[in-house]
Amino acid sequence: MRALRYTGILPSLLMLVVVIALNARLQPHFFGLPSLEDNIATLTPTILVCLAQAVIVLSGELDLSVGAGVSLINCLLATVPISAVGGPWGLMGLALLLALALGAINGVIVTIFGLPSLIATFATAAVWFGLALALMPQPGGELDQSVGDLYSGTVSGVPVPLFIVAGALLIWTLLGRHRLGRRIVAVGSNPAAAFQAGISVLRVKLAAYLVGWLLVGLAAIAISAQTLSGDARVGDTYTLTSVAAVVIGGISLAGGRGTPWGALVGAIVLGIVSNVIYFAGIPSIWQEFFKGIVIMSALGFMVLEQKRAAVA
Amino acid sequence: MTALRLGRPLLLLALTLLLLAAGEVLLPGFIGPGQIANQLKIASFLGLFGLCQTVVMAAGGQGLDLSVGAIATLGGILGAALMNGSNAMTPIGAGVAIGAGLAAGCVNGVGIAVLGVPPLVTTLALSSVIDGGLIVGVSLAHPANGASPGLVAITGRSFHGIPTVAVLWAVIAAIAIWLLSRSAWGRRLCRTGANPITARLSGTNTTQVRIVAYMMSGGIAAFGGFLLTGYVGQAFLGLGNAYVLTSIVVAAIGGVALAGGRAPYGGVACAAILMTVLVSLLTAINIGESGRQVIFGLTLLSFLMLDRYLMRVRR
Amino acid sequence: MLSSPEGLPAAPPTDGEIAPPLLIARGITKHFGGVVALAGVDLTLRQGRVLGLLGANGSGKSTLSRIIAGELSSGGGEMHLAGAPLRHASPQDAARLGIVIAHQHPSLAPDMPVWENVFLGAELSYAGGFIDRAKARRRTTDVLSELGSRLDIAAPAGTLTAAGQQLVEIARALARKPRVLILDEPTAALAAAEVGHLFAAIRRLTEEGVSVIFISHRLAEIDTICDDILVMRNGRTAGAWTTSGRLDEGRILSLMTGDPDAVLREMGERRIGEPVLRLEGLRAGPAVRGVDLELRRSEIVGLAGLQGQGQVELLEAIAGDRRIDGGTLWHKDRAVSPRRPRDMINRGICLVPDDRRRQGLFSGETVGENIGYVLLALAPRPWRLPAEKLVALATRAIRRLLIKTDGPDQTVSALSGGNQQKVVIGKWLATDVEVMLLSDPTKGVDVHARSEIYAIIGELAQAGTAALVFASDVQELLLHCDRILVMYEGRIVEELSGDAMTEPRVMTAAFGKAAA
Repeated sequence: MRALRYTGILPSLLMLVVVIALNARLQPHFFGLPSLEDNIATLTPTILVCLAQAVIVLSGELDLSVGAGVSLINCLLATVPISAVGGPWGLMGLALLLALALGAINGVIVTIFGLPSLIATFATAAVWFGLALALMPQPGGELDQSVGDLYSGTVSGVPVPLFIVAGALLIWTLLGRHRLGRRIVAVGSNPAAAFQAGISVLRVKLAAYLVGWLLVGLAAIAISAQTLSGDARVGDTYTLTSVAAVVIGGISLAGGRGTPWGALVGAIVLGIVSNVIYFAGIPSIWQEFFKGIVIMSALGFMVLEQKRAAVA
Repeated sequence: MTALRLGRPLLLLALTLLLLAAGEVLLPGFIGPGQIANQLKIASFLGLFGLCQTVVMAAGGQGLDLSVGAIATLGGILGAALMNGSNAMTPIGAGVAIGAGLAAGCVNGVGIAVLGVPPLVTTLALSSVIDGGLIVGVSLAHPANGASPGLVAITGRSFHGIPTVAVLWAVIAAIAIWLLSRSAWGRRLCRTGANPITARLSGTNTTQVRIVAYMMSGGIAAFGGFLLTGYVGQAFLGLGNAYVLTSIVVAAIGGVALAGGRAPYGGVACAAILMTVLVSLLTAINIGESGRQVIFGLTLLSFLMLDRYLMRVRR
Repeated sequence: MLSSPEGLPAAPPTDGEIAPPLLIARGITKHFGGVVALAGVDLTLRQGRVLGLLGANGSGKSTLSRIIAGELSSGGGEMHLAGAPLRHASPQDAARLGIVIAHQHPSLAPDMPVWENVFLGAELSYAGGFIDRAKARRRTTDVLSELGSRLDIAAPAGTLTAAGQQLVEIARALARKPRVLILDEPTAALAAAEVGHLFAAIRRLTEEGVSVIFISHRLAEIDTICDDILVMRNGRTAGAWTTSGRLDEGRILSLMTGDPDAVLREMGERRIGEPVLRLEGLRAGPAVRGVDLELRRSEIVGLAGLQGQGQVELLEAIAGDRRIDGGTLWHKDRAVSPRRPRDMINRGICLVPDDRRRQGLFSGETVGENIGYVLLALAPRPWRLPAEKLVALATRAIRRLLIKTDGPDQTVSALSGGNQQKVVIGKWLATDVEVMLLSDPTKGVDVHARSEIYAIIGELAQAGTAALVFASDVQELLLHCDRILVMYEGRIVEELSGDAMTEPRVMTAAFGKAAA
């Protein structure tokens, strides 16, 4: 419990319980297997991108190009013939490679060139989107069925998407026990203190970008396996959703405070809110408004909660 | 200092001329009076929204306004609803639109300056509420959405070859430049962004300054949306969406620092013209949206690096 | 040559034997811009003993210890550790050689738990970098219990009290297993019981052969724990000896302060007027604990005392920049509760802040723009720029305050510290100042500019302004003030005027001793 209090995840968990309860009430068979599997499969890419943003935000930076990055990787996957890379695993390897490259570019721009991450990643988002459009001016292309099969399969009975999310959380948990993971948090919490303690702030932030984009690569694989096609706009909503999820999850945008579990909770809350609003029979015209109000309240609540915790 | 202040606008204008020349070479007839007038019209709107970002970014604290699009749409829809196609009601429509924008900006300002919520989060949240609320309002009330003929005429007409919108923009730009660089309030705004501690200890109410900055952004955005309604002929949902990102790009290229402290609107205005010409050149030589996006991003990055380099040199 | 800290000699020398010197520093110099911080200091730290480092504000003790700890490079001189030349380029190098410092103001990661802060940058890990949490937690608990603390090691460092943070900082140094441990004012935030535990821990360390440099202004503590003493003054060694028996406080104070007879009081012809500011039991945060004082027109009152006794915070509270928790603030006949500095500025009470670059200036702007800012902030018609008034103000300020600058268009960051300070003062010429609060205005300012600044204060006082000046240099206050109030631990403990205003009396009060 103590750990929960300090990371401010308690309010987010409360929100999660509330929305799940609402959803279960409103949607018949919410806890049924097909419905759960469906929800998990759709939520997986979102969760992964939110986790990625969480890593970067914890280090004290931001990345507004994650959505466009997903689109770009997705379009590349839909363009490259699977035979050229030796099968579905080769394709996934390619995705991760590109993701790391994009993350490295963002990281270098922010650390070595010293540009402010908010606007710099704004700029790279446009570049990624443009490249995605170049590959796939219209949605189309094709991914080999083998990738889709892998994604809809199971690993020892566990559906692959769930497995991927669990894997991502495992990576993060391991990172949290590793020197690098703790230094990422230290750098976000007080870069001056970290520097004084002999930590290379630049290298740590660069590492945060790389780790984050590994997760972005996974997200792109997930979404590509689901749609089995390429779309330069597929990742559009992910960016702002990831920022909102991070805030709702109790992670401070200033860095250093929060855990990626919070981003997980935030992502699920946002995903389920849509469901709730849909199933509540709210006339479709009100849905956007409600969503906006809910997001605004959640964000406001979380930020005020952070301030309260900071002062205490 | 003065040399530096003129440097950016001149650089941007030089680049604009370069682009125009390139356009003329590649496509003779590119520089025609009709073309220029059209581009000026488009640039005027971009310039207005760029002013919104200029003011809030100057106030510091990682300021930016992601709600300008939603507020513009709000201004357009409210204005159209009140105008109801009548010329007489046009000023009232404009007034109400601006009032709504000021109110929205006030909400932003209070959230940011009083509650301390990061501007990214606040303006994002407000924009989703406004967008949602507009969907509801439009569906329930079915307001009139056409611009009055008077407004259409104003925004469409030209004044000795120069579009009226551009003249309007020029007037607003002149007032803005004067207010930002040659008034006590403008200095207070910029210093609040540069060093809020010193500003506060020297007698400035920094909270009030920042709230007013966001109110101004809201008011201008709403007015921009109102004018857009005239330009397009009618108000519709999503009217202002395209301007959110481009207004930030234009402000950054114009030399406004995200950290605050400077409001070189002259540069921003020139950046608006430059970006408009760039887009039309790219469109004219058939570079699709993909190429445009990449060039946007690279241009912004280049100017950010330029600013960083200048900052180091200045030290 | 210089191996890990594990290679320590067995038994420490006892009193009576002369312990071998472990760390020797000779002729260390250091400049910061134009200001001399160290003018050639010698220090000898003997094996397994505690060296007390004493000196008034600005004597250079913090600078010297930071140089020894590798955080600053020296401008000249040399150092030897265990006989071999000491050349380190960073605190990490120094730590590898076994030299560790616990800072006066801890810099911790507020969101991370205590045990992680203790091992920040030197994490205990398995091969591959995975943190051995159990080991780190155990070691942290061990070190903290040696310091007599039962802090919750899982608590985020930002939730700790000042005492807690200080203990974590000390624990961080101890956890590095140093052979030379430097403690910079370690007891400033600690309670008596905690100090006792700290001293017991220091004793244990010295028995194991660790050598300690102990910086403090609390003479009683120096008396208790130190084996040798080094007194610094003005960046030089003023005296060094081995303690035997009781501490000779008089000798220490006189070494720290120089010749007590050489005070030439400059007194201008000023008629002190009616009271303009009064404080009754003013409390503001933990730093200001109940201050009573009265200020009259044309009076120059000095606020003296050691650093960190609440002087800066008191001035901020009066200026409206710090929340007042209790007591009353009177301006003439009215009780005032300011919510922001503007409230007090409207009443003619202004602050020349402590950190001129961060709080007093717009570094990127010109001299003229800085001088003109108060005028702009208070301008009644904000849509206009009172351009002629600004030019006139800048010219007047530059001339009257003797600001050495190429002109109002020069960037203010190009000026020397003293001239920058004059700019900060100069902007207040734009308004009627009834009370000017100055927080260490001559910090980092060269001698010549210092006297000019006091001349300015004198002129303002002549014209009716009341001035309350906090300065770390007692000589300055003795020279220019009508009265001196000495602060100690958030209260005014002594008020001196007339013939009673002497350096020894100020220093005595500054150390918390009752007047003789």
